[in-house]
Amino acid sequence: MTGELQRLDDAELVTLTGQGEVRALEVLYNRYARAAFAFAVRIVGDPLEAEEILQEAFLRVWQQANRFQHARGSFASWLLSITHNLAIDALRRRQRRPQRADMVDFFEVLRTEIDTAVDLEEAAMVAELRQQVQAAIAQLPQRQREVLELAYFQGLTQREIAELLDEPLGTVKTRMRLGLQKLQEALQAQRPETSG
Amino acid sequence: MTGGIEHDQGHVGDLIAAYVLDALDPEELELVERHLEDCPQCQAAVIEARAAIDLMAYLPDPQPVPLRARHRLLARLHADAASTPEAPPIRLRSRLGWVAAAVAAVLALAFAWQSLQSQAEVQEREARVRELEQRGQVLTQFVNNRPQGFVMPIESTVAAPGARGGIILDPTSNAALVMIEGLPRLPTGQAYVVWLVDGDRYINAGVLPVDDQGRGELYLTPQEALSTFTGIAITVETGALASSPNGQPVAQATIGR
Repeated sequence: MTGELQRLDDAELVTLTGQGEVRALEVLYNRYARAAFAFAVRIVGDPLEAEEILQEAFLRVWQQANRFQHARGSFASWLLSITHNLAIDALRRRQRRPQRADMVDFFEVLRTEIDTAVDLEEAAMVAELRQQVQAAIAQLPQRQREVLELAYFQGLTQREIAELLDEPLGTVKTRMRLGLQKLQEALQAQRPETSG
Repeated sequence: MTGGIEHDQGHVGDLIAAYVLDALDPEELELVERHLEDCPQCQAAVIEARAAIDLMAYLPDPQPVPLRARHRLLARLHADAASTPEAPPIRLRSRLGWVAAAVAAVLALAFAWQSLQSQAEVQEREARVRELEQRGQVLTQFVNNRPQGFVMPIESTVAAPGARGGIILDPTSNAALVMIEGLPRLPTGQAYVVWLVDGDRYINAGVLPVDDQGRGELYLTPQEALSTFTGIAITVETGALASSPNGQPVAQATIGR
């Protein structure tokens, strides 16, 4: 059964997940857990907290699978959007205090057993997309890239970024607008392929 | 379209980047959302901008995933499946029963709110009592005008475990009143949005105004008949005008009779 499920595309798996098929969700997990986990770690900085976010994101997929609309975007985009919301919420709950090293339970991290049941083919697809996006963002001037990343990965407003960088608010606004414009141009031919 | 819509032409093109990044101040956010209501050009620009920004999720290098995350997820799935039975409706055929259920729901909320305030200053408590009385009046008026109504409990999700409340429905006049408490305070730029649910179809029923105590009420008079919907859902959204839910759900209720 699991072998059959692995041959299904994302949309079909989401449909089965909505019907209560746990193994369909597991196949989706195999395909996208690495990307979602890496994304969560990048935002919250703490691998243990990122694990919680990963679980919560897939739990949301389980609970909301019936409302997923493939025509509106890929499953990966939906999952990563859920992950983003959860991770930024977690950051804001910490009242935007910087991550302290002593908040991370290093012993817990060191004891970690790695999940090897990842879908390597799908991981390769995500890796290819990652390279494209990294190449696109690398084309941006460093200061434009910086404000986009502070807003996206740290959940900061333009005003907070201006204070953090000690730059005029208008300068930050201009960098953000130009940064997005250049990113759109660079990505124009690099939209993610939907697997379904 | 790559940022070609100019603010000085009455559009909000120079705010769209910050809008999709959820980086606007509240005043600017309101300005953008008001403008987007009637501007298909800027709506299209937002969709394109969001598609580009969403790809930033792929930027981080891959990380090995701990095996325990899978085990914990599966354990939670089984627990979730076991703990989400259909919420039984409070079906009341008589007007007396309907009023009693509605009043009981409000009293339960009122008791909880007052006990939460038991350590507060007298002046604040008095203000709360007046507020509760006003809310009671709203409810009483609603109930008295709707003898065929019934109450359905609102179930919270893991995102808002303290949330509770009910939705009071009167299909004959196609009206409903959503009452809920215990909602977490949201960061700037986010709002609770109520959705009417019909299978996979979600209709934005409006923003749920929530006070600083986490309590909210929303009076619904949808264009479509309430009987066509199977439930309501409340989600956290960054855009109050969203046409479909994208944020996390915090509560839901079945409204089919």
